[in-house]
Amino acid sequence: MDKDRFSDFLWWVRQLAIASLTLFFFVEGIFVLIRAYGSDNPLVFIMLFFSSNLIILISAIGFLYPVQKVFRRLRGKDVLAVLLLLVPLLCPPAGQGAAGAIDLERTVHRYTLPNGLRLLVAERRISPTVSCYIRYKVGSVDEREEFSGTAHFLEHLLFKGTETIGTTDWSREQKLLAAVEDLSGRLDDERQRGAAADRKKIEDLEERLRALEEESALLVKANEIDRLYTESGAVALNASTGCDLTTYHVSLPANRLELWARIEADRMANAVFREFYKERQVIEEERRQTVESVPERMLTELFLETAFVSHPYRRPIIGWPSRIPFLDIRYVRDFYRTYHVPNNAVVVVVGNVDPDEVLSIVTRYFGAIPARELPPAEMAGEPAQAGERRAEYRGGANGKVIVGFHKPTLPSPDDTVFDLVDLILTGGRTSRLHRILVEEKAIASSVESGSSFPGVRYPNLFVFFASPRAPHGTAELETALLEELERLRREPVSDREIEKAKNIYRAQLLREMSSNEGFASLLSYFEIVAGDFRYLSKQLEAMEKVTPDDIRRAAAVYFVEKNRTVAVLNGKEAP
Amino acid sequence: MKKPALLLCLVSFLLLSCRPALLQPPGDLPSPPLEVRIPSLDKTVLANGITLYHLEDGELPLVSVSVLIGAGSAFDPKGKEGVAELTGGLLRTGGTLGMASAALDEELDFMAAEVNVEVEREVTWMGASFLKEDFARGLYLLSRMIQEPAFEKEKFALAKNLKRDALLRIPDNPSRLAFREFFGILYGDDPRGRLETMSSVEGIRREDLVRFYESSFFPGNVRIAVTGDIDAKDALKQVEQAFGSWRRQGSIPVLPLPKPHGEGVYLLRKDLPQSVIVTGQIVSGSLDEDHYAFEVLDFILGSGGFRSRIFGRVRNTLGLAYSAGSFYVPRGGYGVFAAYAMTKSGATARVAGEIAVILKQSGIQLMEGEEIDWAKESLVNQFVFSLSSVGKIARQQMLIDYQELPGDYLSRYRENIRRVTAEDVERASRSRLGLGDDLPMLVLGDDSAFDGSLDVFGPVRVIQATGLQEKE
Repeated sequence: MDKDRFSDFLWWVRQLAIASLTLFFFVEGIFVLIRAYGSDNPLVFIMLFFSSNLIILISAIGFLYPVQKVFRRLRGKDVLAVLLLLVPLLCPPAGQGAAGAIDLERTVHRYTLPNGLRLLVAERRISPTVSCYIRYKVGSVDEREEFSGTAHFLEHLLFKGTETIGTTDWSREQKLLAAVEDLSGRLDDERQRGAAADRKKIEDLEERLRALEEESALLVKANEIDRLYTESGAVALNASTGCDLTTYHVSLPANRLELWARIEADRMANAVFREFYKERQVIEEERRQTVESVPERMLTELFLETAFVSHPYRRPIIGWPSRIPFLDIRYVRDFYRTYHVPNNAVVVVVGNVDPDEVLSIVTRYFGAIPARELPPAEMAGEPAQAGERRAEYRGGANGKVIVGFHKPTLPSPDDTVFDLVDLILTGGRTSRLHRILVEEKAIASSVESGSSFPGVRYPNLFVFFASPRAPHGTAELETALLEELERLRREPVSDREIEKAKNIYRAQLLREMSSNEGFASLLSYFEIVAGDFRYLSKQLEAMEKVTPDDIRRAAAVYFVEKNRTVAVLNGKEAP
Repeated sequence: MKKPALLLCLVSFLLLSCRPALLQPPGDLPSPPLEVRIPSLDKTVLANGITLYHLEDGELPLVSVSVLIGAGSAFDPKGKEGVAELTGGLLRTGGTLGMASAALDEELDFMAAEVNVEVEREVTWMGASFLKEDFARGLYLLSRMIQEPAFEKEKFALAKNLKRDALLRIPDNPSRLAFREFFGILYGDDPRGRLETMSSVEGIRREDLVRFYESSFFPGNVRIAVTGDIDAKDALKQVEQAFGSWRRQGSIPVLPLPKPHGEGVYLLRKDLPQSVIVTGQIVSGSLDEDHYAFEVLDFILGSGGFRSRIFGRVRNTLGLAYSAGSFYVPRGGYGVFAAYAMTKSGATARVAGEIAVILKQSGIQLMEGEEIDWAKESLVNQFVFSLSSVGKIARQQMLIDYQELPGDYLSRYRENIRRVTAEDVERASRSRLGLGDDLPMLVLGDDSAFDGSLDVFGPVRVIQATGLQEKE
């Protein structure tokens, strides 16, 4: 690579030398031409005139040669590529090139609007497309316990339109919606009485609700947001709700950026929760599909409930099955007005765009949305764990083991250490757990780990998900896995292992950056959870300094029995 | 100086605050013209028959390699289903003649390379991503895996055991189970419909892999794409070095095209709170005349997002599903279309009926002009995303050439979509999906909790998952 850089450097020196030499003769030729006209001797004039013309002609061609070469070299590459080319020439390569060569600060433009909205823009020329991410720092942890599932429900409802998108007559629809809301509230109240509920009253309310819904449906242009996006060629239109964050993202042809701003700003400020009653049923189906029908997802829920006692990380993001049918639209609205505000959001645009133009569009659409003071995060802290916790789920499925340990989150230096532990244990075919559990002892069919589960805004867990390979059982696998963690506490990892993990981390980052979506996702993620996307560079630097001793110390502190939670999925019969 | 600046600020502030940006109908917003350029790939056929594709993108110091091999699981010997998958997997994990798997894995992991294999029905893909500085070495290692695989015995035994475990775990994921069985039914006796089973995998020996490898892996059956931070000359030089001396002849049998197949209802019983419903048919491929009409039809039926008919009806209007829709996968001379929904047991018959009606209507009721225009406009505008990365462009082109589509397939795609009329779409639906009556339908779920009988959709057959039981 260094050799390549040097030959690149020589190439540039050569082009520059040729260009400056020919330019000198070109200017000289013009001076000679001017002097020719100054002469009163016709012979001298003719001589100077023709020789100057010759000089100008030859030097012009000579000048065009390097210009054309440079132009051809730059065509198809963009400023970033040139930067990547030049930066290493100016400063010696730091460490292992690759991710070190990415100059995030130069590539990413960062703005903050007066209302607190943060905007990051990165210009890329791969194709005439753009990826847009909006992340809000709000998730299921911010819900009140009895309304668990609200953040996710809200994310669904934000696809239902606004006062100007999705309706044919907002003023009429508004009145009907208020009536629907009132009726469904009364229906929910009655239903919640369970066995004591008045069947007759329920049927009556249902009847009236159906009629009202049908009436308001006539004023609704269903799925208008999706239609607008899809028709303009959008792909990857989706949203996700986590325990910490809510994300809305879409990729568009680059000429439709203004449509995106129009829709997103509108749904940040003026969302209308139409069709909410039906949507709540959709979420019940979502839960059946993604949790109730998949035993390992049931196990994961059980695991979190066991690992956390009081912190909201213990709650399922989608909500408890018993509470989803009663999610309250009034609380959803409160939640929306409180947290979906510009000062709680980050907007990231990556693609074939001009940063100034993006700023102007974003200012025009989002600039007028008022900031609101955010409530203090009154989070129930998690008491220190004082002994192993275990749980078992029996379902008609093959075995699975989840093991987790409490640990601090970013920006704790230990968090970075665990990112490396993650790769040393399960990153790649030669990682420790894959090699030993899947290949050598051959008792597992897969082992994965995660260094920040289920979120990052609060102290979280380092987790292992492992599947035993029949006929080996969950108990045997658990023992073998814990033995490996014990080894991590006792013996330092080799320098090569740690070097390999660092290489993989950097390369993964590069690969993620290589698509517009990946880059937008990465930038928005760190900007919202760490407060600044440049945390990424800091973390990379910190990672370079992690030593085998750091790893042994972290393992010795956190990978201990009294800090451990184990959840096991077994078949219906006793193993 | 100060005053005009102040005035300017004031005026622009007024202009800004006067302009009610949010009140403008979103449909009226300007969309400046978009220049869509299809980058031209460098394509070279090496002396030994390998076709090399190259496209440069120097933004990040990464180089990717995609290898397309024209053989997949449909070429498994009968009764030994799983051979193609194991062969593909062992190329990656089983070492090479010159290097044991452990050393190979260690070197690849240390250079943070990603190498993976994906075996499909008709083709096998190998993909690799290297840091630019490791490219030459990485490509060499990849070339050894492809040309001199060792199929180490221990790795073969491990892969077989892992394969068995993966089969045992299929029922733990209802939609995987349902789609697996559905494709088995849809393809019927066609080689593409043969499923790997516990016993077919059990019977596979290492020699079967070697035999499969020898018959399918030869230069004439291989396409390689090199994309990323590398120029054409270098790419050609490196590939020549790594693959140029590979000489082997071979021929691969031509698979007959699958035919539309199966009808009636296949009920797969499982104790679940939610049913999976899948229905579909073998339909036109990208070489067929009505290919573009089918793209539009599928978009309208179920792949065009929230507004498509199945999604709109089953999820939005009825609130009876989270996932519902359709997909269409064109493959040269034929294609596969399927519509699906997951719904609570108590709504199974209802939702199956809704889907059947939607499919039937698409062939008889005149499609609204607006809906057709929306679908065509969407497909045309989405086209630019098929060009969103150099790797994607190259893989796409390899597949186009492999399927022997016209050379201008990509450049004429949008034009061909624009030309589709409502009559074309209806005709495609009628001729390929019948009137929805003869399509096979698979339902996975707990039929004791269904809301009605499924026999209105045809004779109901109760089936078992194919070969997923451990032998007693």
